[in-house]
Amino acid sequence: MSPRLFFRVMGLEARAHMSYRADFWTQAVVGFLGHFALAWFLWKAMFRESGREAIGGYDFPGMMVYYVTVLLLGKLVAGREYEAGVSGEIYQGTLTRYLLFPGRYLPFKYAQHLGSMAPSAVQVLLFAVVAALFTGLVPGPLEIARGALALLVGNLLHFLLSYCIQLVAFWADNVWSLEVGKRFIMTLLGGFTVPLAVFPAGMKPWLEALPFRFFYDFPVRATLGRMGAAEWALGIAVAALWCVALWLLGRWIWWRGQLRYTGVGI
Amino acid sequence: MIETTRLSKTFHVHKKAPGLMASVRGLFRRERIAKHAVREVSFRIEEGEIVGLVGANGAGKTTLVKMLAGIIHPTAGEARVLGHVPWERDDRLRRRLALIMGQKAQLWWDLPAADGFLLLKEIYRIPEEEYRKTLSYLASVLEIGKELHVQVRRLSLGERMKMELIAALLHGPRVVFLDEPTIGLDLSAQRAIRDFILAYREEHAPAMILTSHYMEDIQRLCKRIMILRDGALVYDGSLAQVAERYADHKVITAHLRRDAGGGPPPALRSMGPEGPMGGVAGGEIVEQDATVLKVRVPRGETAAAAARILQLYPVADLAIEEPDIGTIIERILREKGEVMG
Amino acid sequence: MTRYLRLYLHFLRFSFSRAMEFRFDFTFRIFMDAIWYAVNLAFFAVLYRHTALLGGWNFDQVLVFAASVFLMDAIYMTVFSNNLWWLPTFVNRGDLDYYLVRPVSTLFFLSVRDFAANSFVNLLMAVAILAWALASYPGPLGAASLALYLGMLAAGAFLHYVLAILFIIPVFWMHSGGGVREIYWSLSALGMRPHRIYTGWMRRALMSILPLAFIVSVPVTVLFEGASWGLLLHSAAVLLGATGFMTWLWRRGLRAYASASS
Repeated sequence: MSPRLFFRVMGLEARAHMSYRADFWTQAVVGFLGHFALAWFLWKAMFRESGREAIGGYDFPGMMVYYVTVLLLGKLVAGREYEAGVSGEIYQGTLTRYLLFPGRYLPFKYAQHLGSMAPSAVQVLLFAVVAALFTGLVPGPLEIARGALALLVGNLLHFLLSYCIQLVAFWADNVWSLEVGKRFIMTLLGGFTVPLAVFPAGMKPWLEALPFRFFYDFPVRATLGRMGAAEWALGIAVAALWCVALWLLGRWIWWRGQLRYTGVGI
Repeated sequence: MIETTRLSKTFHVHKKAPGLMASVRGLFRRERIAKHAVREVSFRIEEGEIVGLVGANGAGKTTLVKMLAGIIHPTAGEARVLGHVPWERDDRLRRRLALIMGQKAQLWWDLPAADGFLLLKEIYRIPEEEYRKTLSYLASVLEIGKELHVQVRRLSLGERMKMELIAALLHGPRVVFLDEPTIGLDLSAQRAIRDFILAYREEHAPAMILTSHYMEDIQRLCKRIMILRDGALVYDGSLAQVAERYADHKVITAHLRRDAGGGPPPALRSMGPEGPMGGVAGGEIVEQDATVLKVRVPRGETAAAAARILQLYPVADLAIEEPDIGTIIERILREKGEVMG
Repeated sequence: MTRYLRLYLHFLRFSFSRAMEFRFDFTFRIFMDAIWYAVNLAFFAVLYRHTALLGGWNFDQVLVFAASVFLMDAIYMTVFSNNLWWLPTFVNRGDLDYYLVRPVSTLFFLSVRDFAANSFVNLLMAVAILAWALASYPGPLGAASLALYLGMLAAGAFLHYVLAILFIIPVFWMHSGGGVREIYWSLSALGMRPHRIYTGWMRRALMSILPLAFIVSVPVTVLFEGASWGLLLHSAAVLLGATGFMTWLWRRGLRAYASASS
């Protein structure tokens, strides 16, 4: 796909999503505050009732900084699933138009996915600025650069994972539950619910091998400067490998799935 | 340009029996019924032809078109469009192909048509100059230039269809599939689109397949039709010949003159050999009164019957008509047994 | 009353029939909820590696709490969630008319017509997990406390429904109801943790104006510690207050709907 087409699709999608409504912002604020309150009280109680000073290498303020960051950056990796979604197009038969166009389906979808995140990106930027002003903490340029690349890779990885799951729509009458199940797993094993350092040491190799940490734990720690250069580079490499693996899986599932497509939908 | 050899498609549908117990059983094992949507269809279409594809609902027309457009894989058989196998979806084929479906939109609903066209320009890599020329030509012929910047979802059905046509033809396809393009449109929109398709064909001579339930579409646009019945091709030939072969009768309408000072003409009581018509085998009186006599006669007897009527009656005006194509085709579709073209 | 019961049985029958049409959905949902249960249990397991108590409860107690949350969620998902999900759409499209003309309580009809039979197995799973958690609890569980706990849990399930619908009713006035509904979901997560982790004004709020604590956490407290009359009265007051407010608001909403449609 030509870069021009990619950016045009992305731009169009971003424009289509940019119509804000009041509840878009209220939802975001309430959601953020709710999650943050949950984390605040939970960890206050944890530290108080355990009597410890630090858990998993985080003291209470450090834990709160982690949560604020994960709540913000998490949205850039896995916000609302792209509404129309691949599965929606298979079920509605609107996949047909993409079968007619020259060019591959996947890059098209990825461009749309990135475009649809535009409003979230604006939101996150705003909140980040507010948070920075509030806490006085601003990451340095190196951290921002590392974090940005980690986010990009994490976003692509999440998209590919979601894409593979949504393609199951060629066979199954409903894939929503699979998507939700994936969400549950990745919030726990990716470091959204708790930082991965809190997990028992025996689980570390598993957590490092799985792709989920690249959605939350990895980009957050990169941005917060809680990661050395070697660890960062290794992480990016592993994430890239996962991307390739999922991309190949996606291609195989697509090839098998489109044999069954009827264009009529459910 | 388009060629198929024994192309077939079978769908498997699950049967659902009513009742709770049946539903529980259905969780583990379900009965499948095979639905033969397209059965061993073979034909060949050349550049510049518009072929009408006709059949009842569910006859397999849309399935056939979708296979030729590469959207569905066939169960058996072969096809080639512009030398490519359509379901392999080679980009070289897709760049020269267009599908317009009356029931499903191709354009994005929340974008203005102009934006959608720009996107298609990128997708099909249409050069700037050519794009502008084609767009302005299409928009002016379809008289839709003013609506280009309105969101597609806000357009009326007729306007939307025109935009879909433009969207499909921007890249100058050599093969065009039109699946019920005039469905749901008012008469003037239907006419506009028919005129447009004819004009487009004049200019560009692509190979076209048109499916439609409206006989006016078929009659106006197609010289050749293919009739599908239950997925099988039962007729493939010229439209004119359909009438000749399957319309076995004609209707003669005689408008009668009032004889100056005379009474009403003698009533025609029968068409049989004992009557004044002197034996028009298979003839039938449709209607008669003081001013009109309408009879239905077998094709072969038309001339003789007309001559007799002119002899017997003071005819002011005589018209000979065939039953309309729609009725003929309906008959073909209803009939069981061997029908060939 | 029996009429409503019979009506409800019909709802159940249709729902089951329909749900089993979608075999994959049926299976995937079981899988999805199993993952949710596992993830939540793992969450607490991970936390308890670093502490002996959380919200005043030890690990065995928190397991009972988690299992109770699962049950509440399963009840909500099967009995109410489909209906409440579609309610804003019905209101916006003006589809409530068909419900309004029936000689049955509109609220009843709209709230329970669609029983999510495809989540039924999940309900069974949740009951099994709770039974297991209670059975493996090493401490003493008095019969009276157990009965009180189950009763308050039932009330909690109903309270959960009342609060959920309370946040949907604004759709009668504001057309994009989605925002307010999402807000409830963000907030209800607060009720899925032991209420004693909250302090100060937050805990007071969760026991009064946004009584999420009464859905699961307070009933579980009663199971382990018994209940004072004060607490029971408090619970009853919260339940009645919320229900009363909700029915009043619902009626106002219906009136607004009726006068708006043409």
